[in-house]
Amino acid sequence: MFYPSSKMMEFAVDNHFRNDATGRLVFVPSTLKGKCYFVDSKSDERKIRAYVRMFRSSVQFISFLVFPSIWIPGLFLDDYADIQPRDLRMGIAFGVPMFFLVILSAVIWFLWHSYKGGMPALTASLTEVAPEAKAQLRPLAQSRRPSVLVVAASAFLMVLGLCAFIILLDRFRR
Amino acid sequence: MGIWDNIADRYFAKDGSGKLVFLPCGRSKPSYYVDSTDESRIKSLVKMYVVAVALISLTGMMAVIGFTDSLLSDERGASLAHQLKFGGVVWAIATTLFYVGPSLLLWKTYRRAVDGICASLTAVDLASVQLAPLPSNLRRVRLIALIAGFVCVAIAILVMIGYRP
Repeated sequence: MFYPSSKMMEFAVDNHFRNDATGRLVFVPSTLKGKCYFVDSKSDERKIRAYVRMFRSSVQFISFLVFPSIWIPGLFLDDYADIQPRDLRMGIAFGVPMFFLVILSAVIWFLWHSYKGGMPALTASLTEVAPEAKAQLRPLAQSRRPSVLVVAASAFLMVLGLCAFIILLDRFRR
Repeated sequence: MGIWDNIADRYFAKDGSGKLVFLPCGRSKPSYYVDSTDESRIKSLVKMYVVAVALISLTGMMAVIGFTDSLLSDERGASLAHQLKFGGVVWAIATTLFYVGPSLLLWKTYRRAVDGICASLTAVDLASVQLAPLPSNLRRVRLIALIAGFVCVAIAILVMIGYRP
């Protein structure tokens, strides 16, 4: 994974971990309202981090695919396909993105379901945190928050890539 | 989730003494012995990867088809040669951007995760060990997928034949 994305992913994975008042590492699979687990060995931490990173990366990649799947077909059908009357164009412009949105929502839900399904195996040997102790959990001290500059640079690169792609297509058309 | 378990089992094998071996990148690449405490965790990770690959393939190909089809809709009046050329270029760019790229990044994430996990596992000397695959009903799954594929292609052909612009 390229560097800025990797940093952001580390930050996302760090968000699943907390420290309790004594400094013990706690794994938060989904939210603090759900079950949380103490992670006492480095080996366990590594495996849990790998699993969470795999899940978060998959969600990130699928989210990246959501934009072209939802908007671009509808946009081009609406603008260039010369569909008449106007009501039908509107219907297509909304209908196509909504259709893709439903499918992609189902995909993300399925991924979440798989993540939750793997959790019992991952946390079987871990001790659960008592509900009253959850209030004392605090974020990791060494959490690697990506700088605004890195985020801005990666967003700029993505926009630049998209512009280059559109220009290339325009030239090809001529 | 039986199908995913079966596919994930392809990443595991047993040696002559019955010990479980994890094959993260196939039989020719480094493999590792897995004890019973780590087995379920590594299987969960592999299953997550397998599910993610399938979903990214699905959404990636959907994005590629949607993108190519929507751009081609503007070229209906052009000659067939131009349509083919234009469609080919758009398809190649869209496939690289929306399918190959995310799949490669996911593979890299998996490799990184596996490298971290396998650092504490014992490596298997593949030259001296005979590995046997885990029993699975993957053949049935393949057959079902093949039949489903044929049905989808048949429906697509019927729709195309019935389509009148």
